[in-house]
Amino acid sequence: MGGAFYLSWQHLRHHRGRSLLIAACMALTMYLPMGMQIVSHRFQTTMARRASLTPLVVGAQGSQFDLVLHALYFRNRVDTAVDMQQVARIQESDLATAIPLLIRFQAEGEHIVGTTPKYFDLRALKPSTGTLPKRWGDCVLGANVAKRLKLGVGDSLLSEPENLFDLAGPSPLKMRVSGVLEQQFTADDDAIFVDIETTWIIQGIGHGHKPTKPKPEGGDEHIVDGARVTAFVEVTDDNVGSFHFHGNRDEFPVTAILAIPRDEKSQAILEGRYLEQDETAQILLPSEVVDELFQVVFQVERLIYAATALLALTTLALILQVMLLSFRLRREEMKTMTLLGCSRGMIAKLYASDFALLILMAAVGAGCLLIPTSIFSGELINQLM
Amino acid sequence: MVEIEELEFQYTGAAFHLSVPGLKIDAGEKVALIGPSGCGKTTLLHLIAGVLLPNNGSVTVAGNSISASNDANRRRFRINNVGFVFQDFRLLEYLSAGDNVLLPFRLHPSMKLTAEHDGWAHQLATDIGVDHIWHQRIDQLSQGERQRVAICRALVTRPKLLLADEPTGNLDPSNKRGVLDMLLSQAEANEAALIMVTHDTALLDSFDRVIDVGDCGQHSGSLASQAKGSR
Repeated sequence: MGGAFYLSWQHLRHHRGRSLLIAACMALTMYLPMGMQIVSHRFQTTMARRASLTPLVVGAQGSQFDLVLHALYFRNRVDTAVDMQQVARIQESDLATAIPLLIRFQAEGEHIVGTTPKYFDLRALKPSTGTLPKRWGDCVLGANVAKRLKLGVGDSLLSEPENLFDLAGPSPLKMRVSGVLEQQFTADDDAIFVDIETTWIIQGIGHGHKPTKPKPEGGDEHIVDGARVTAFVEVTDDNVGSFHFHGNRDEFPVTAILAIPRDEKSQAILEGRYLEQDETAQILLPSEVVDELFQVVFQVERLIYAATALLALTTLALILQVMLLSFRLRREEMKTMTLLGCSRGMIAKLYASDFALLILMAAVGAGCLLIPTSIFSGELINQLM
Repeated sequence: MVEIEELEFQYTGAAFHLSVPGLKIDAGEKVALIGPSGCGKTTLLHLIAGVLLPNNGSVTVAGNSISASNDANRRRFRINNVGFVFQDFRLLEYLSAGDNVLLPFRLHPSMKLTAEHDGWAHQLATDIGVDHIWHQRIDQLSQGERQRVAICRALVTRPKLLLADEPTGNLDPSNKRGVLDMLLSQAEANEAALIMVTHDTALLDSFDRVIDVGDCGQHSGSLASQAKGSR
């Protein structure tokens, strides 16, 4: 077979443009289903793992997918929030530990996740540098966010207003970076974590300002100061004492609550408590919701596989056509070989080795595409989520 | 070397008919085949080489009955014993001159390219004057260089029989004589019989014998042999 391979290699090398084009078509046809399989498998593994590490999610009634993706990946915006009363309800039931999440604001285009220290314990998040937030106004950056924004401990970043056109709304809060988290290869790498009170300050529910003047004797009891009260836009060691919240804390918003039940029985009881008709909140088992999502993904995947199969057939037909044309173009060459005494087997080997080399080139090409797909599919999925 | 007896050949569905009652060519003999176009000169070469099979009669080359052999054996015989030179050279454009010369060693399981073969091929290329273009692509060569590469390829297996089908047909007069002299001298050096188809009467005095394949006005050929006294 050595002679046949040598001649085939020389032939393909001589017609390198055509050979590369055919090999590229074959490589793409090989790569597409395999690449999709890798990404799909990684997507399912990543989703299932994160979902399995999140026992229950509580949030406002609405789309189950939106709520779970919001609580797990901080992405889908949840318009209707629940309040801290729901957090208290879970805590006081003594059936589970509640971790509130408020994900509504952004800084430099990155999501700000307001939560409590228990979240870091649940996800086993540890700072690679610096510390977790120590006081209001502190933030800890996910590893990817720190890389993207080129920020480290001691730097600061400004929150973005929820609505650009709300001029009377709260001022952006300048947050101090207290730490950067270790790389997790999860959605936590792409978030800015703050204490939940900090998100309420960003929302304008809480603020800090210089002390007001004493109320004048006999004055209007509703007027506490002049209009020139200056709110602080940054929490510092000096002014942290002046920050305070207005209103009933039980009514402060959270967009999702992660609930960690004490045991299976507690979980079942807790789930049962959200089955009432007039219940305004819903409780979800993320692994079940993710399974449902997978069903949708499977359907889409099947469609893509069908499309890929058609594409493969078309490519195969085109390659066969090219090969047949090549046979015709090489007729004189084969006649020369026959005149010289080339065996029939060798002529068959020549065509076979042509095809084998093209397949080999295509396989190498597909492999070259599959390796980065395999390496970066996790990151790609996190970006997409 | 070559013995033909009562040979009859006709292409399927064609009026052309070739008849050779008897022909004997000795080892080392130099024979020219002449005759008008379409009278069967190339067909006779192909019958001798075993590319075609006669309808009747026999062809024996170097003691091997070509007409009685199967296709595989005829191919094996051809690559081992016959060197072919063509008018249009029939070189493979995707190979270098050197790879074209060594091509016969890559075409049949019975041929294996060894260091000895490679050395002989280079020696032959030096003798014929193509060693300096060994690595060049065919499309970079002149007509004369291509013809020399084709001759080198025909001789590389040290064939007992050299068949040349109008090898000077595409060459200018100054190159014609040079190529013929090269063919004759290389055939002599390798003790090979040479059968060459030519239309060029100016070259005939170089051959031991001239065979006129005959008038093909009736779409048929028959042999008329004319022996030369001496070269």
